[in-house]
Amino acid sequence: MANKVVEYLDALADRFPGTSVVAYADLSAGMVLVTNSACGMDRSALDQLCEQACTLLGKAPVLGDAPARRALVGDQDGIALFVRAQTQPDEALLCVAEGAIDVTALGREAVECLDRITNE
Amino acid sequence: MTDNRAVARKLSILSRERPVFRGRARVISNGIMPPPMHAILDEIDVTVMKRRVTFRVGDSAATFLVSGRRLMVLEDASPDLSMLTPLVGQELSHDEDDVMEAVAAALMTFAQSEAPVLVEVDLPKEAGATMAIGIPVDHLAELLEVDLGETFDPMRLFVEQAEQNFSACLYFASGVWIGTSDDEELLARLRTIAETQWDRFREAMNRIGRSSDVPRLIVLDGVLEGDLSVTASWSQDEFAVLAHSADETAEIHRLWRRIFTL
Repeated sequence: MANKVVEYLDALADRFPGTSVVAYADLSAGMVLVTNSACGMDRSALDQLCEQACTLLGKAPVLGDAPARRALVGDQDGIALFVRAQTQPDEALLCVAEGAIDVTALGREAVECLDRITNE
Repeated sequence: MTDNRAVARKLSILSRERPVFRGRARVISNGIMPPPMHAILDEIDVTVMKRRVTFRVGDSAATFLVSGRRLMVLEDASPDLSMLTPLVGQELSHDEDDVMEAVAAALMTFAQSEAPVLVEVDLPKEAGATMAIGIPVDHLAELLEVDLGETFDPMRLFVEQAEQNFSACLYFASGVWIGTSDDEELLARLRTIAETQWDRFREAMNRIGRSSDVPRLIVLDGVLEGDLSVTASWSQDEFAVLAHSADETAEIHRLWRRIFTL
């Protein structure tokens, strides 16, 4: 199963050059479960990334009335995109990309990737 | 230029955090912010020691010997900057109107392209003082009608440019939130967010390493009734909170990136 998930994550990363991290995480545990093969982040950085996702996609909305189904963080370096699974709200995909990237396409394909993983 | 505002501005330029490089060249403007002409003149304004300074926009480039905040000698220019061709290798002087105008025209060409402006600063090929009169940056600024002390408000520009993409906006300026929307109910919802959630949100962002030291954009999709998104943007002491359809997220991010990233 884990190998299959890595394949899905690698396929998504390959589709979007500049995407350095695609990670599958459990928000309830606050833990990254598996990453794409070429992920260069160490465990500590992945934990921090997951904490960011937990904060922004958390059950207690940081802004607004309902928990976010998707969060995008942009800064000078690029973006972090966090997508929550539609059927398993505690599961999420975390993507980090540098430079200009097609946010719409990445978001759409991240949801599809997550659906494939959660439906396995 | 000795007034406090000018000194503060120069210190700000000199201490600017995290300069962005492309190869050897430093990016001083993304083509919009800071405005290219201001960025170029600022670079001359902070160059006191004798240096070779190359300004590059796309394939166009001009290399000046700069000293004492003056353009002293034009060392090189790309062929497309034809107005500079006769001046290559020449000492520059503000006493010669045609020289001033040619240099100003070249800088205008850089500024009007709306492309990133890059600068390379090197030690001069030859040490020692130059005898050139030079063109002081103040003279150039006057000719180009540029106020070197002017400050810019990238957040306001972002809000203005994103106007077609949001349904409501709150913009924090001079200590108060200013609202923009035809939808009073949605604007009231944003005001409640600003009053009840904003401070905690900023604290949470600081806690997870997304501090307010650098410009940032955070979009949360589906957090408002009607599946609307909320976008928060900040840059130092400026903030904006937008409510919009999730379909607009990519365009809002593109606009933000165009203004806030080098």
